[in-house]
Amino acid sequence: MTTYAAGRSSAITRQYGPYIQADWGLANHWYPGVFSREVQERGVVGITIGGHDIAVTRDAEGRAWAIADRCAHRGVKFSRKPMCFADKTVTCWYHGYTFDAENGNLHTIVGSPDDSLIGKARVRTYPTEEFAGIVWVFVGDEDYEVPPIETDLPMKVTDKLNAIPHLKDSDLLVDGIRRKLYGNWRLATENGLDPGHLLVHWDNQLVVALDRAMPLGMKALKDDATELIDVPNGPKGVLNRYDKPENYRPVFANDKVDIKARGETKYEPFRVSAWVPGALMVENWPLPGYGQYEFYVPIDDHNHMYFELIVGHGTTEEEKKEFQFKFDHFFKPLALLDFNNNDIMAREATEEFYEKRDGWNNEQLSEMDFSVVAWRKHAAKFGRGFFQSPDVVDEF
Amino acid sequence: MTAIDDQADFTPTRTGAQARIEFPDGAAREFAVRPGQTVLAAAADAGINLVSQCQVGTCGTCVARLTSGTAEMLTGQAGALNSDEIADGQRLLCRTRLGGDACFVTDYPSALTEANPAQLFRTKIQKLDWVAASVVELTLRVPKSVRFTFSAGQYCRVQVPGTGEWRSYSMASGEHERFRLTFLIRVLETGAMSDYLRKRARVGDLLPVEGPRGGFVLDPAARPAVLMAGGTGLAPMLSMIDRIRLLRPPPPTLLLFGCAKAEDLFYLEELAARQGFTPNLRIRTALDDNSGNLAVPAGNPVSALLPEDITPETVAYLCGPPGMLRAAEQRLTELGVSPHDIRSEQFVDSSN
Repeated sequence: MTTYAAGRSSAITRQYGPYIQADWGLANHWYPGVFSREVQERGVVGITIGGHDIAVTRDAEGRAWAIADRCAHRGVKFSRKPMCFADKTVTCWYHGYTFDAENGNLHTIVGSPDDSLIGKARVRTYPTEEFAGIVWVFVGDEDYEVPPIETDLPMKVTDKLNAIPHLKDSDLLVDGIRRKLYGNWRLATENGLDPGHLLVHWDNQLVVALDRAMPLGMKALKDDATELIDVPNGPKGVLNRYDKPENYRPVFANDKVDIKARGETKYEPFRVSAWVPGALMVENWPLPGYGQYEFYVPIDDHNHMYFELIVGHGTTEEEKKEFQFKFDHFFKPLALLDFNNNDIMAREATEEFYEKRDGWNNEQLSEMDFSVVAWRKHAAKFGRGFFQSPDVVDEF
Repeated sequence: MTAIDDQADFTPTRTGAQARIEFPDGAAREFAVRPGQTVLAAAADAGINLVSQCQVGTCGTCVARLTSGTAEMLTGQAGALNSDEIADGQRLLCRTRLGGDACFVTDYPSALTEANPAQLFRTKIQKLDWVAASVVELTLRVPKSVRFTFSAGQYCRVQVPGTGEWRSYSMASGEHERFRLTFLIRVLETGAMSDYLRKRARVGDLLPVEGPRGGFVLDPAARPAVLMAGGTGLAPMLSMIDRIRLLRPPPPTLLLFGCAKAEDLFYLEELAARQGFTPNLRIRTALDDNSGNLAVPAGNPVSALLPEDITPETVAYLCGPPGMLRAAEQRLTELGVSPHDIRSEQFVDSSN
């Protein structure tokens, strides 16, 4: 006897309870914050991760710092009107409270230089790292012992067939975009991994232009078709082994409906994997030898920042130029925009159900969702906590 | 009548003095103030966390009213109090020195000086699930304005709607859940809460809650743990496991859970699920009378404990009926666990 209609999938969701709990994202992880090119010396860029409003700035030595994007005085965001009048400080545009960007301490107040609050008040700081053209931020409990950032990046792939560069590789070539999107971070992550979602890409420009053979679906043939990856003190993820013919049977036609897979040209098999706390790695994509990384950074429970990166190998000026040309005229317009826009449409359409009709407890998963479920369990196990709404306004 | 000396006569104490803080709930704290020390700093030295924010006299958070004795604020800056307020006896304790023994009253309750202050707030039933013939899982929504914090293992008092009766239940939800509290409630033949849950409770009902309370909490060090639970004594253990789960690395944890008979048994799937996402957690379940479910071994949490489960670092947490606690304490002692490492929470009599 239940006095609450729990929904048909509520018995399943308990298997990954901490994942369901993480509406606002997994706390105590590293996330991409902003592209390096967005933060100038003495600039202030505001971002929000898991409800944490964060201001990123840069000092004269080029080092990026992150502090709470909320003045201790009257609570306005520094990023609303960036002001830095001294190296490695952020000044609030409203009353001039000036905070040290490294330790968050109130350094001075522009119009009240001997104020007794100076040295007492502070805003919190967030650890940062910068590589791959991105300023990364560790977001979570202030007293959490910060783990190495490699634990929160997709792993380094070592087999020769899929030589996608790791984000910390020295010969990395990378460019990308970010955009704020409607939709929960989990739905975004799951969509990318989901072997059943190929239908939304059936008519995409990139696929048609390359005449790329793209199945309608991937039927898993074994329980371990999705590999669970648990690198000790390292990345945690799940990998769809599309590269192993014994694991999957691609579906090219279904005679009950009038649709056939398109494309005659076979490329190197791509592989897709999802990583804690919410990243996707696509190997051999958009072309063999290249790779795509996506990060679904939670902003709140219904919005995320979508980072889309294309990576390649190269060290010479010529290689860099060629990569940039391909990025500007192929990867960005056809892969990051046209192709991924279809994923975005799917995610936004899904969000509506999960937000308003408690989709987590009312979805109806099928065989093709095995890797999504594997991902959910993995994320439940290896998440380091969860964000919650910072709001204090009552709901009832 | 007040006995506040005029500022002109004020001489800071040279020998030190006693400060007394009285709270509206009747509680009071006394502590020594050294010469030159502020009342707020002296309270902190004495381990008393009076409410304060800026600590330099500008925000006004630490205000209290002087009711007897002599106490003045350091001068030479604009503060948060005007002269009328100061004449009324109001003082910012972060800027206040004593001339001699003095007494202050606050306008906030003593609970706010504790790490997880007990609060009284209204909740709403979000979910009510009968998980066994005699056990209800009750999930309450906490308003966002309530900054409720607790330590895993603590409990709250819940008022039975429409009555003046209060009952105490340990949180089964984790301490990181700020907006949702889950309780496991044993439903008896009769009783205020039992009758309410059986006959009247509906999703959306408003329930007053007061808490957190209790000192049954995890050792601050990450140690191997044995958790022994009888019936709904499982609740605080689940909360503790939720905290242990996030430790890196999670220490080895053994949960021993027992119920009387098959129809009282609950959460088997829930426990199996938690084992899936909690590294290093082992679970053993037992039934006193397993004739209704032979898949579960006959026994109890105490008989399920094996000598090899205990290491010199083990700390044991017990929650259940008095008989189980006594047997468990005896067995753990036999196996070499020191009394200091056996922490227990007995079911509170529902008439309390």
